[in-house]
Amino acid sequence: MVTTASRIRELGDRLMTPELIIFPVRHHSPACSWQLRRLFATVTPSSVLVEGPRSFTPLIPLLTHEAAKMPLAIYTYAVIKPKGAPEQRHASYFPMCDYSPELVALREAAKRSIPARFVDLDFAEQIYQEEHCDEKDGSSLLDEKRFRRSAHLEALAERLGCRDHEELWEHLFEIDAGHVTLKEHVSRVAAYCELSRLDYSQEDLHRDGTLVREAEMVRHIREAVAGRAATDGPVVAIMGGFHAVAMPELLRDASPSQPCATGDVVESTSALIRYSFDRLERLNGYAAGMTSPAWQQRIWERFMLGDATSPPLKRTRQDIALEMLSEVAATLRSKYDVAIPMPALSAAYEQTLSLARLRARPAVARVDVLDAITSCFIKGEVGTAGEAVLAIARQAFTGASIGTVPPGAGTPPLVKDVMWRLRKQKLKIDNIERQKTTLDIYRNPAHRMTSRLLHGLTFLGIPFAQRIAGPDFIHGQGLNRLQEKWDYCHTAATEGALVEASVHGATLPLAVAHLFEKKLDAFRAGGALATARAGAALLTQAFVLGLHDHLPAALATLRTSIGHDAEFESVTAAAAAVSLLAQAREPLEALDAGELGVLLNTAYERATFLGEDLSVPADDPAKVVRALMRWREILVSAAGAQLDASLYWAMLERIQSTHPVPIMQGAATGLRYSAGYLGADALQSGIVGHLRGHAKPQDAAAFMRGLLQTAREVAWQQPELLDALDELLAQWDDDAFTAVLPELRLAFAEMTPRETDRIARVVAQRHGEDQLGTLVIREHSAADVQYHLELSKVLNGILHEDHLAEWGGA
Amino acid sequence: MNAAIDQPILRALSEQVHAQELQRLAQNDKGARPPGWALTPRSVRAFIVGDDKLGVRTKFFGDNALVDRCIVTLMSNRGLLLVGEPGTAKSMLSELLAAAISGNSTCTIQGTAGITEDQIKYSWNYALLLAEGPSARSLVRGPLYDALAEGKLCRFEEITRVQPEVQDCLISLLSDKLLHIPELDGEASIVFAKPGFNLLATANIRDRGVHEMSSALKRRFNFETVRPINDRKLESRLVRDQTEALLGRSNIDIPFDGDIVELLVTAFNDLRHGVTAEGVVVEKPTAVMSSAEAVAVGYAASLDAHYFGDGSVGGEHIARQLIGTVLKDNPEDGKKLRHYFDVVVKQRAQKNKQWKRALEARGELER
Repeated sequence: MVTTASRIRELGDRLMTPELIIFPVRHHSPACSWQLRRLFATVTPSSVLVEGPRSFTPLIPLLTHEAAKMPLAIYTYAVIKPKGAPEQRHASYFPMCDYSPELVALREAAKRSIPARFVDLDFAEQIYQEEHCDEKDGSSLLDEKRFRRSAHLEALAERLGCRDHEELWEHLFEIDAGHVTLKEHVSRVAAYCELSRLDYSQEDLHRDGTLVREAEMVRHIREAVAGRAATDGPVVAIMGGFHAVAMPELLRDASPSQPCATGDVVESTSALIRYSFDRLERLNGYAAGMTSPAWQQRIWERFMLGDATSPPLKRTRQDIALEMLSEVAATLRSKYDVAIPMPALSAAYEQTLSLARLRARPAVARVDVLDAITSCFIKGEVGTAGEAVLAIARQAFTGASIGTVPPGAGTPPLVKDVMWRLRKQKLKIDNIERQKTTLDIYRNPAHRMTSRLLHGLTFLGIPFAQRIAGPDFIHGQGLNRLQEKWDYCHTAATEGALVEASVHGATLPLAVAHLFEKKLDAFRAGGALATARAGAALLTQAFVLGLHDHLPAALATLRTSIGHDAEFESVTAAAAAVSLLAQAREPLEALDAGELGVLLNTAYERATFLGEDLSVPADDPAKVVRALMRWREILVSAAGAQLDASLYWAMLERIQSTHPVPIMQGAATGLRYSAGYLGADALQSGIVGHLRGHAKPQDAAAFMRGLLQTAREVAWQQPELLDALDELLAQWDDDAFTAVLPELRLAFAEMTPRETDRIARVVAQRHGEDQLGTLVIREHSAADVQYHLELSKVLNGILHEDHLAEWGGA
Repeated sequence: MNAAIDQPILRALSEQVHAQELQRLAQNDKGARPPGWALTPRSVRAFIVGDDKLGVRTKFFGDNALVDRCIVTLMSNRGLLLVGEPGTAKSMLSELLAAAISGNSTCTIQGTAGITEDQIKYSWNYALLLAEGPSARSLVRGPLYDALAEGKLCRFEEITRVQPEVQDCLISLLSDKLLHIPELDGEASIVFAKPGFNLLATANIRDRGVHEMSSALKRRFNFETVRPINDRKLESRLVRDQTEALLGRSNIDIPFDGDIVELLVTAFNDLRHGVTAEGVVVEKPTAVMSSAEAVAVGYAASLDAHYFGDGSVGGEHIARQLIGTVLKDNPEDGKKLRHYFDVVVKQRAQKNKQWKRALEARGELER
């Protein structure tokens, strides 16, 4: 296929004939929409055909209803059952804005009572055509991967100095919208799409179902053309340019199209739902559609002020650029206290215009405005000072509009979806009394589904169910429980809240996923609050909610927060959470052990690095000791087997010999002894050294505390410990003893009663007794004892000064 | 000026090295030039980002939009300040812009802590000053004077290293576009900027030993951040080409490619981004891990292998030089690098020979 200028013109001619006009569009392109309006101003079509699943046709009156406020989307889903395979559920969006060519065509048709319909394969059929189709949820029916991946377009972009396909399109089509004739526009779009089609072989197109879809559209076009009377206007078919360019050839081929094979469609529905610009931006971000809805909307609104035949002014784009710059400046001034003086604003405007000129554009493009913001509003490096500025610019270009569904659109799909799911999981929702249910999340897959459903509703803030017992994986509590117990009741408030929440998504999983993404974004923006511990909790939450598709983002976020977290315990807590996830394979279906392994590795390496210079909080040093012990558990667990344990033991050796805090030295000594890295002799000399040396009594006690916290068996296995301690106690005077007592008490506090008895017996034997008497006195608290000891001491001192020492007790 | 290339000098100027390209661009230049410019903005762009048709090589990789923004800023009445980590080719970009726009990149102030206002603007030939009093003859022009009087770009390297008091002499100069010389009388007492004058500064903002700029001065500049190259493949190619060029200039014939470039660029990327190709997070040292440093390490490692080794560069040569690059003045960095060897190099050493050789150099860190 040779693409030459004459061939392209010829293609343009063939797309526009007196009986049939095939109008190639790029979805959400204001330029295409404007040219389409121009077309409608000159012809009265006999019928209007639009690319989009056939079953959307009944929704056209709603879409064109005057109370319908864009952005809206047609949400469609299908449950299909391929032969010999389990049921698959697929869902997709067909978003519409005021400036979408499809909507412009439908509105024009409605205004002039021209019959209009959608002509593509139904969604269920489309899915069936795509080989190796994975379940998809929440993708866009207006996917533009073909433009994005086209090598030809990439080369063209490079030659014209555009950074990507998005800029290329704007450069070629949007900027001088209306300044080319309708025919020229159609030829140009056709040329553009022809180029991207060059990258696909016939086989590729067959494999992804394109050919079958095109055959279906051809069938409808033929029908429409055949049904048109000779005096009628042409049939106008609006379709993505990629398909449009193939139509003339396909229409010429007279062979009848094959009926499309489908699997068993178990269920299939479409509904009109509210949409928002930020969701559209996200959706297009994934599928690479036209970005920056607020920018496009402004352009469109300005276009609409003029009439359909005279071309829009290039000045319009400059005005909008200035509006955008002022808006960003205003937000920066008011919300972020960034000084953007007038000269900076005018400099940015000048920069925008000069950039457009340098890039040989007749008017300004979106990227010129963004570049001017980068140049003139950021005083510092982009990575530090620029983040906030660029985020605000993105927000301004995205906008915050939310659509309104016209009356008669019925119950939002989310409400239906949730009710369907609740019934499917056999929850009693027709009862007004509170119900209880117990879920065996370890063994019963259906119960797991129910659990996710209830967790999801709770996450969305829907007043329906409350968990009253069960393992809490997020906070690491009650993990020994095998079952979850829930208490639930369906009330009017439940449904009301669901209607409210339906802006997040059309199904429960989509809504939960959307809200989770927002939470993840907020977490990433949280700076110092984004600790590894909190990141791990988010990851766990993703598992609990069943958001297994969103794990990559959560994993990446956690990895970053581990990398930034400077607190040993927090990193350890994250590692513990990850190893818990790796073990919780049944209840959470955490099958992705490879990714978790990398994450655990990351946490381990970060921890061993932080361990080089372990900082210990003065108020609760035992916290760090517990974290050290936690690592010992992780290393012997199944998930930790892949870690290089030698790093941990080398770290402990360093802590034992060089750490300035005695409790850490004691803890490292204990850990190394109990793992066999330290012999009994070395342990003895360590104990004796710390207790009999010249260390301060408090330090000696702290060492003991660390040691016994990590290796309590030392207390009865190593008689030297008690010997040395006994000797030490005898040396201390009352002051020293009273001061050390709290620490000493803590050292033995973790023993079980049986262990305490065992130690007591050894101590008693040393002093020739059988036992030490009552060891536990419950009516006094530790603080009481400490207070009385100190008081007694003072009293004794006073009595002594008054020469009444014999009155005292001691 | 071409004659200068034949003289034995260590490094020729951009306008000399690329003289032919500039000539071709000027010949094919169509359209209006901004007053005082040697080329049109589009030709300046082509000179820097390359133009296959005219046989102009790409000199600055990876961010064409940045180049556009720089050119446009230089046309405006604001100065351009290139910021970014050391070694990201800020100075090279500044030199190329000056060479293309003014045809001369030598009108340069080399910013230091010790620079004074008179070194920037003008000073006096004291013998003549004493003999004749202040006159145009006894005045010694500084780079800024030259740039104003002749309508050229004045480059100001490392502007943040200059004392804030001295930096601030630029504030009113950048707004008024003129320089007062109160010592002289009449017309000579004011130098008006000719069209084509602008200031093109480079700076490190986060480096040590730099001064904060006053807000007033910041307002007169557009900031542009030059980022390290993010494309591993491109970086590998650049590092290899530049190292080979350096080796060629020293007449050293030693192969520098394949595994070794891969190892070098991988190690630099790991430490620069704080995350390895396998997704493991490592500690980022404070030392600069730029592509320019990678070239320096590659070159030094090759010299080591050539003069002290068996003539082939191995992992241990790279590792030894890498240690020298990272360990500068921050003891924390030693710890981070040790950690990198323990957790990353050790793992890779089990699978790859060169990494194994690199691991052998870990001992140097303990000294």
